[in-house]
Amino acid sequence: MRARVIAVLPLLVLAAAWELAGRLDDSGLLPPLSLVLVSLVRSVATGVAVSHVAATLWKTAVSFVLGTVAGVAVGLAIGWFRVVASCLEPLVYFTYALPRVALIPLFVLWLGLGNRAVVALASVAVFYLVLINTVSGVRQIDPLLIRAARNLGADHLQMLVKVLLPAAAVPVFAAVRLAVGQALITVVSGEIVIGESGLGYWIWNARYRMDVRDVFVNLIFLGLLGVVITRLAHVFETMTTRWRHGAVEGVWP
Amino acid sequence: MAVMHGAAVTRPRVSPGAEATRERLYAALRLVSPLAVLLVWETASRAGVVNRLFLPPPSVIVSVGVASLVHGTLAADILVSTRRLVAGFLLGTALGIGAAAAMARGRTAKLFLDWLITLVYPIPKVAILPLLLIWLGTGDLTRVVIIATGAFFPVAINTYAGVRTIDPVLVRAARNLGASPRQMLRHVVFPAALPGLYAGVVIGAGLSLILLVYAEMTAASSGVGYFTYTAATMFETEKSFAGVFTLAVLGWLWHRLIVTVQAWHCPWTRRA
Repeated sequence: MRARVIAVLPLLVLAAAWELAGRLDDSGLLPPLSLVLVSLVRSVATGVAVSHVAATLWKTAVSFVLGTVAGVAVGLAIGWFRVVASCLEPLVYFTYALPRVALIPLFVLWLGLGNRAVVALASVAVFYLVLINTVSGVRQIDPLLIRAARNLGADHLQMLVKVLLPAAAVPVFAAVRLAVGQALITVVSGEIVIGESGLGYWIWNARYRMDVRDVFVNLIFLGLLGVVITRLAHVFETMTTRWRHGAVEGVWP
Repeated sequence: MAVMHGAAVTRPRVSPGAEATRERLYAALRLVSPLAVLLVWETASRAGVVNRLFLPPPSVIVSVGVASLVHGTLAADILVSTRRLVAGFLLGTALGIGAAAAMARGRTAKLFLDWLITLVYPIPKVAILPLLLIWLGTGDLTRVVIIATGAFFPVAINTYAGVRTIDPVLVRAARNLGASPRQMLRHVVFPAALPGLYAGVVIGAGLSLILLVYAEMTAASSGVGYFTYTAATMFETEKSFAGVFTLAVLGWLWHRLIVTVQAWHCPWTRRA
């Protein structure tokens, strides 16, 4: 009990310090925590927050699905067929070093400003993450399983469904947690630069209005969303890959 | 069947000669495929199969890039970007090491920093930029600070994790042998924290670069990110492509630099 109190104490001190600093500050640059929370409740009540959160989530989901499907498909092909690997691997390596945000200008050129470019950008980010994990998954398959399946007369389809997909599933599911986070971050980044809706668009808008309260409300929403999404993905990961663990580590900008 | 890969043992039995021929074919494909892509791209763009406005021929991109480098602003932009990147990255790394040291030394500092990291870490760093723009203005300070946040968290978290893995026997041994606090830090704590530190530095360097490009696209009037994004909004596609290519090269060099420093400073942490 005492340990728990001590653990929560810094949080209360930080909150109190924020409130106090906000009350003392009259430049409007640091609104007190209480006023930020009032703004937060109001934004939920008026539905502004709900619509922006929904827009961001929707884009995140679409890019996650697109990137994952493409990543698994190409990853299986690279991992299994030497010819495909020889042709595509150099291209993947060349493009991999490029920071994903650097593609924003190109997507603006191709798709214009707005949601389509944002989703395309986030899909690409997810694609690379899933691709790499799928390839490593296929290449780590126990050769014994492949030989056994082949000796038992498995055809290509059976090999894919019974051996490749289950084996690749482990690293791919493990990559899901990272991929979901990557999708969310990239969508928000995209929204800030070229968005027409969503949390990124909203926070950038608040910046132009110099509305620090709204900026903080947004940061709270983004933090919560990040935590909730990665927790959910983590639960999904432990549920689906209970027998093994470990993904290629990604990053959270 | 012949093209299947899987693993070495699963390859169908063939003569060693045929095996070698196939290996050579794969090696050749690796070389040829990027060239083939460039060739198809060049031809399609020149022949008008794809709109040049959206996908200009690589040769034109190169010549426009070189022109921007020699006569235009690109060379200056590269210099500005590099300076921001290095300054922000060093600031973030220094603060990250400081935070890790504070967490390792004091219980109160650990409690506070733990909460701060728990609360701030899940927020995408890109979203902190609007706040910094309001607080610190639109100058280089904001850009350096946002780049620093990219390095700070991975460095702080990984360095602290490294410090925690110190073998207590080493600490006790050093103490028994009469090591001063300074000697303890230099000869026991620092070497033990180094692998974690570099793990964080490699991740942080990547994030710093992302945040640099991002900050330059949204809130700057110079730098390679600005160059690339402005060109796109003006439909100067060749310039934009040249900018993207420059960023790719910059990213690659930056990564090589960090990994080289790591290999030189603590060779045992180098990954295969």
